[in-house]
Amino acid sequence: MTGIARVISVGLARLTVAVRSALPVVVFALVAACRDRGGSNDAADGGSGSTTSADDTADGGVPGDCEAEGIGTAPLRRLTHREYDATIRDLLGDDSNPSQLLPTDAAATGFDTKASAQQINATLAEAYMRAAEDVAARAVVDTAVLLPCDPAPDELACGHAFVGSFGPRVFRRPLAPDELSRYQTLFDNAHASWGFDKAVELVVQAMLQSPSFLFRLEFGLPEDAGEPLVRLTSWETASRLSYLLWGTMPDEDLFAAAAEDRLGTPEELAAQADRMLDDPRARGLVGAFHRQWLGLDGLAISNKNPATYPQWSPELAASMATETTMLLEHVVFDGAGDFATLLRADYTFVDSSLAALYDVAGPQGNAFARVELPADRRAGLLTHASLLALSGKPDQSSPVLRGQLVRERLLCESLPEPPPNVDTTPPEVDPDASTRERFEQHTSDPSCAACHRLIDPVGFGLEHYDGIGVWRDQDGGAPVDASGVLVIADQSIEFDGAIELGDLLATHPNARDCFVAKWFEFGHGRAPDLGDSCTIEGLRAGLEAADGDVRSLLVALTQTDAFRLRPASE
Amino acid sequence: MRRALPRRTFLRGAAGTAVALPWLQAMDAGAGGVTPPKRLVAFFTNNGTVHEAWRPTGSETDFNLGPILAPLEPFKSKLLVLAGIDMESSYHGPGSGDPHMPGMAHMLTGTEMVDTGPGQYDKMGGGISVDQFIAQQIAADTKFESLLFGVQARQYGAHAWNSMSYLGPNMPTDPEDDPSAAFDRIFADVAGDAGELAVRRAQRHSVLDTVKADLDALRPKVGAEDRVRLDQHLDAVRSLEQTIDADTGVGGNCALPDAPDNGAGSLYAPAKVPALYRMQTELLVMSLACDLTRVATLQFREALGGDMTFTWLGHTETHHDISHKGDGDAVGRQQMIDINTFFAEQFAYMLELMDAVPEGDGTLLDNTAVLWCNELSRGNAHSRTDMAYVLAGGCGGYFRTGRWLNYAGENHNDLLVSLCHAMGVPVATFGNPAYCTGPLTGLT
Repeated sequence: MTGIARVISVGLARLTVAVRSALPVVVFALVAACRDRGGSNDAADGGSGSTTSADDTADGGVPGDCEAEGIGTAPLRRLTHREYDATIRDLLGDDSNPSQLLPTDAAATGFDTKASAQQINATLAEAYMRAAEDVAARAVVDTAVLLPCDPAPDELACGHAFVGSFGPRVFRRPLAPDELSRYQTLFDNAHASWGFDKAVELVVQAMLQSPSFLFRLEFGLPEDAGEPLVRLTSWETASRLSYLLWGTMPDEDLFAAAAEDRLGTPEELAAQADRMLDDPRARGLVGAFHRQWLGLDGLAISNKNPATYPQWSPELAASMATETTMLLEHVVFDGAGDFATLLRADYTFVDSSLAALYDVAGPQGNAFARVELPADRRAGLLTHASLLALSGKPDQSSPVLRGQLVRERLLCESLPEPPPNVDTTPPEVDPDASTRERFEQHTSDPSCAACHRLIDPVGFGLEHYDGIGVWRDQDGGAPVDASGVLVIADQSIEFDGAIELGDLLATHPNARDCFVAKWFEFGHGRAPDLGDSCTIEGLRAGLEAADGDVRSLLVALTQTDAFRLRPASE
Repeated sequence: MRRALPRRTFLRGAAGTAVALPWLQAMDAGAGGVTPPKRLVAFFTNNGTVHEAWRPTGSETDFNLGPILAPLEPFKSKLLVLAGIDMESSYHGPGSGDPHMPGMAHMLTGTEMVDTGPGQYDKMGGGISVDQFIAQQIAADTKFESLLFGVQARQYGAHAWNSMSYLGPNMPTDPEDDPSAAFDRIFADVAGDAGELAVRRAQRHSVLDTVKADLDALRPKVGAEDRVRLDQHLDAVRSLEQTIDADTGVGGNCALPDAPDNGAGSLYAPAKVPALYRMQTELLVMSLACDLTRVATLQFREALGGDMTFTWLGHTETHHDISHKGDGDAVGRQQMIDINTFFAEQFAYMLELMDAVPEGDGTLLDNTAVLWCNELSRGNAHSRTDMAYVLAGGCGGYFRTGRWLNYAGENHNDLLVSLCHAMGVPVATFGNPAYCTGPLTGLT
């Protein structure tokens, strides 16, 4: 690619702490601490997973000096609505997305997997009840599919057999004796009152509202009781794998592996992960990650001023989101496979409306086809209309929102709100002034400049695209100046235009580390914190060793102690 | 009061043959000297107001409403317009990164937020909110302990800006944004054949008993943090059972409303707001009139809510951007006044419907306390002092209405205490006692 990095200044010691990314700062500090403790391993006397840590996480050249107990917390996970729908689909062949009946999941400030937001309150419990009633009613329309037996000779026996066959698939583990008898009793009583079909239906309803279905409860191996870290049972590991890589319940292969206790070693996990990543369900999961990482669902509710952007429509917005998900999926699964290409791809997928927007020859109608991008105008994610429109105002481009997008989503930095009593209204559109000129106050007013010098000069680099991502050569009556500055890691790096910015981020360790942190957060249901330094360090090294290969990162997620163990319950 | 409505009459209403809206010609349930129940409603709008156009002029009892509150003129004798109260607690604790966030979280809780993660915005409300507290305390024998309605409140999942009602720290409740779904949930289960309803109730009980037994069996086996989650689930299932048991009928001065028509397109299209307000308000008021609940909220979108444009008022900029315009920007200020006047019209519609429901010697409105609250005072200053509250309804004679009062920086926790007292819940303080001295003086 073009030569870009003209490093002009060093020394951002004055940079406010608040502006510095919370995550990288925290994690850097911890990695140092982690290294400082190298060698001591006070858990080595335990028979549990602690003895395996150094070697097992060495996949990808991880320094083996992390202590095994540094795996952070493992909060209880509830099925997200996305996971609930997929699980119902795989359990019963019901693809009606019953989560439409549920109150929305918390995803706005991050990922839908955020564990701290996953309580079940009365509203949600009631919604689960109604959803379970709907699903169960559909499931018993044809009980032959559901039942392991012909009920005619002995309805009670068949009902009990159904509990025994269906229950473990719902709970993703064998039922304990008390559970078996509880659901058989439910069946018997319902059978006596309302007949066979209704009894089956109520068993389905109850199981779908059980905490053993809705939550992913983990108890660990009984023989590890008393250890600070406990190994998971194979059943629990199977669920961790399936929800991490597929966003749904385990398939028959995983259940079989769990039953035969073949999910204990990193090699077995890696083999399963490789297999699972070839399944279409992995594409769905990776797509969900990309949509949430980049906030693409926000396009569905973006408003643009029709006077400024007459071509804007809900359909166009949907096409934009589709383009980005298709491209990212293609890169990960069918293309170069590496993180850098997400930001540098010289091709994309368009339908007719996007082809017109990008001024490239493309397919007719709503079908998407792969096209090469004009090399001097677009390459990679940052030049997609989706992100440019999402980070645009209704009637203009926004260097602030675009800078913020890069800082927060691609670099995992947390920016402070403007101080109270500041008018954050963007300057009026002026045909005789460029966006850069109109946002000049941010850098001329010292109280704004402290933060905005980190934000706006990044966004200025995207000024060749208007508020919905259309290329422009002129802005405010003058040729566009798309020179920008990225202040990062104590350097100010100059670049010109989005392609150079994408190239710069594609190889920058902070962007790659952020990508790792985002995957950790999505997979573990919480942002990385103090206890995760070794895990994060291992994942980073794994991605590095695999030349940035995203599939390898997903496999690496299954190789950490944090994935294979959990802290003992209090 | 409950079950005063003969089932037959109700069902006739349900079939749409006998009941003409608005409300209540079907029944005269308030007769016979029964004291009507007290109700509480919280009505939230966002991004602050324009005080110069909001504040009444004149004396405590002889006053003129400003332009924003002008739509409330017909109900002036049933209002308490409250200026000068500070949301002091919201200046304490986590969440200072964005002033909208603590404003929303403290508005009904009166206590510090809690951290839910390492990020700057990983915060949630830190205690039970006054609506949920009162609902729990009065423990009314109604189908729903509370009903929470939204107008585009949950475009996104629960976060600190769109959560105002809490069961406890980091335990937000969920408003229902979809009028059709709300109608089904509230009214569908009370209309139907009594025999069929009894069977369904029994079936639901047998299912939920099994779920509860699962929870009981698992509780002792999990760690402390997981047990908190399971206990919440168990509480939720128990509460759900109460709802199911109440499916036997309705009380009050009740007529089943028509099923609302959501119309085409997304529920979150800005232009849908007026229609959503109308439908949700009608459902809320009828839920109270039918005595299906005693506590309700109506939440407009969320604190900040940066992507909302009042297109039907001719605006092209978002509500949040307009709220930031300086006091010297006449056009921007007028747009902000127009937005808040629109809110006042929605508030007035709710009061109008309530005041049309006869109860005892008065109306439903007379037996209700309706609090109009906002997460900010002045949007362009992000201030949370000198809040702009309107309290409507006498709450069964508790409040002395028809006045406007200008306080001298009393804390809003005291106002929350007054709501408790009005509803018959005699607490000394609410929220963090550090910001609370007891009930607000001068309201009764």
